[in-house]
Amino acid sequence: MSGQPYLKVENLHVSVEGTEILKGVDLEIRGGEVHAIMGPNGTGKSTLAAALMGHPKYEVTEGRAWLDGEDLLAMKVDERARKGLFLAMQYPSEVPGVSNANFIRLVLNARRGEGNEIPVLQFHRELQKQMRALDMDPSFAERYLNEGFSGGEKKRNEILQMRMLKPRIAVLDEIDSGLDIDALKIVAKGVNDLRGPEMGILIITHYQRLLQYIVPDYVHVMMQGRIVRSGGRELAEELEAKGYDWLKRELGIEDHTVTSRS
Amino acid sequence: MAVGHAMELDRRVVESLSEGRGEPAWLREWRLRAWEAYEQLPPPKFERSDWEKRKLQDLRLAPSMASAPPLERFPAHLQGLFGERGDRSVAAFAGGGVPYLDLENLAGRGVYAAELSTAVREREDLVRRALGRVVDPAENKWIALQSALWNAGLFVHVPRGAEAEIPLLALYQIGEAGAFVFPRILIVVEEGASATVVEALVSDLDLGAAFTCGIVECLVEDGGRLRYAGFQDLPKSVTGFLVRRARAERDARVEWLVGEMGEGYIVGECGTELAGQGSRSDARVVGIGTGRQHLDLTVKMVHAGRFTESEILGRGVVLDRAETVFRAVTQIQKGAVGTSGHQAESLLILSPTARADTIPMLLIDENDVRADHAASVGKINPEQLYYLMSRGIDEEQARRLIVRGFLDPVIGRIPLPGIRRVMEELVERKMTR
Repeated sequence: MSGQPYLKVENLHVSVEGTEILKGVDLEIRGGEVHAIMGPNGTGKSTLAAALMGHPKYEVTEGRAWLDGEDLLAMKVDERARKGLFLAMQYPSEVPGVSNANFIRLVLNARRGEGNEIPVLQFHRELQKQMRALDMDPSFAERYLNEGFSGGEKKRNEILQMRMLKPRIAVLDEIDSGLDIDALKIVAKGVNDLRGPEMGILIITHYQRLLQYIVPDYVHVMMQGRIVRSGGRELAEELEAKGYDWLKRELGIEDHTVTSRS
Repeated sequence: MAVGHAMELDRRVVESLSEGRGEPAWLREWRLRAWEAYEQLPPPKFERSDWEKRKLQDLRLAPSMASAPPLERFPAHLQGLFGERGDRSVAAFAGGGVPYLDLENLAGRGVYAAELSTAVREREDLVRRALGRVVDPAENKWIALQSALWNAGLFVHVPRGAEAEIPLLALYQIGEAGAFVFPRILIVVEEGASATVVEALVSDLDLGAAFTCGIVECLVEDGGRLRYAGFQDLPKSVTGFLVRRARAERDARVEWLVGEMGEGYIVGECGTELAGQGSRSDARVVGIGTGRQHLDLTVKMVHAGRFTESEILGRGVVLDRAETVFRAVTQIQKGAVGTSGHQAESLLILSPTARADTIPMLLIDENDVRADHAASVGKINPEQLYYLMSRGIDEEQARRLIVRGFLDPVIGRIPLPGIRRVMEELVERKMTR
């Protein structure tokens, strides 16, 4: 695929088990840009990520989304991935009996197509290189996919897959949760290495802390299923200083079910 | 309707079979006693199986007289098991006729292996002492029938201290219209000796309807080791009753690897009688049920000796409209102090019309023991499927990957690379059929 990566989301409404969570989200992300979506818990940030990837539990009731001009919502989950969308999940599944290395190789080959498989040696060299960059023990290659990994190890493994797959648009869903500061720095570096015109990045986070290490170009604040304010990186700093309640008051949002913790 | 009547078999068939094989009087009498037991016994009942109702009345079977074809005529996916001429040990059967035997390798290591009727002549005392010692011919109707009518037998004698490092492959090709093949394998591993035997029951024919009964009996004496891998890939027209059982004496080790990979209606049992102090047995069993197949698998460990250990690991995958019952029995007899028995069985159901049951049983008559079990029946976790697909592999491939991972504790740890590859291939084939 060529050209600048481009994800466009228009008036997206998403329900989970009959309850509307997203109530009209608009978003545009281009290659080279890093966007951050912040907001209190329970406002729909992770719902946006899951709906974009196509999780079967998340039903899009209205609105549209395109990846590089193609109708994203018409595609199956695996097709979205092959077109270049990647979601680093907050809670990656464990798949016993399938080794990490074998899985990543299978996934790479699924993208490259039959007859164009990556040579085994080249694959292992690349995998080892990427694991070193994330300070992962080489034994993780042969361990079963996420099985028995700590929270931090799972996050690192998500970033490893992202580095191996080189998506066009990467969504990182709370990639900072449960990480200590050293792990956070490694993960952030793992992401920053990939910044460039070939990839657009959407970071979903509750905390401003991550954004000190992965500095966004654009910051969006989500509340009650909508993006209520967008701005540059200074918006994140303002939120850090003043808290979400400041923005709620300014916007006249009264919602006692939405509380901020940071 | 009972098999025997339907098959129009009678006492004379037993007599002529024994005579045709040139058997001594004691063996003919042994077969005839088994035949009498067969006539008197009711069909065995298997919880949650309808085996007793299995209608076999259309079968008109006589003992097969087929001789083994050359090895290259066996299915292609098995060729990897054979090894090179001069570097292999193979006994191949297609019925009661002449087997294909390539056993010189074993002879060079002091191991005696021969067609069972030949062994009766050449090692009469040994065979007479061992035959029916682990599997009592009167235990149930089908065992009795098999004992009366086995017609494709193999005998293996590993004398004291000998080592049969190259696996002995016992290959059965079931596939002659209107005739039955009843495999019988008898193995004696003497003190401190060790052996590996691989048994394969295959068929590349569409048989109409067929019935087979197989018995494997193993005696493993003090400090002996036996590793036994058995798998079957029989077509859906076959009804089969398969018993594989060992008796382990003091400090002996018995390891079972069983793969039920066919499409037939199969009732299979394997297990070890842990008779001697300090003996140990492990069983890893995998079954894949497809189509309208019924699979009824039992693994049974009977602890009689003190400080004996056993472990059962079972994995099953059930597709289409198949039914699978997985029974695991750990029995600890009074006096078997210091014993430990563990079992874990899991079944994965891949279709809403498939049925699966696990029946774990701990039968314990002694206090000073450790025993536990874990059994589960489940479906593919949709979150796992979503996760795998989110990386770009399609749903079908994601399912196969999850199944492969689920079976890995059994198949991925098969220590014989040739067998592991065949099993992997059989799983893939069954999953994609």
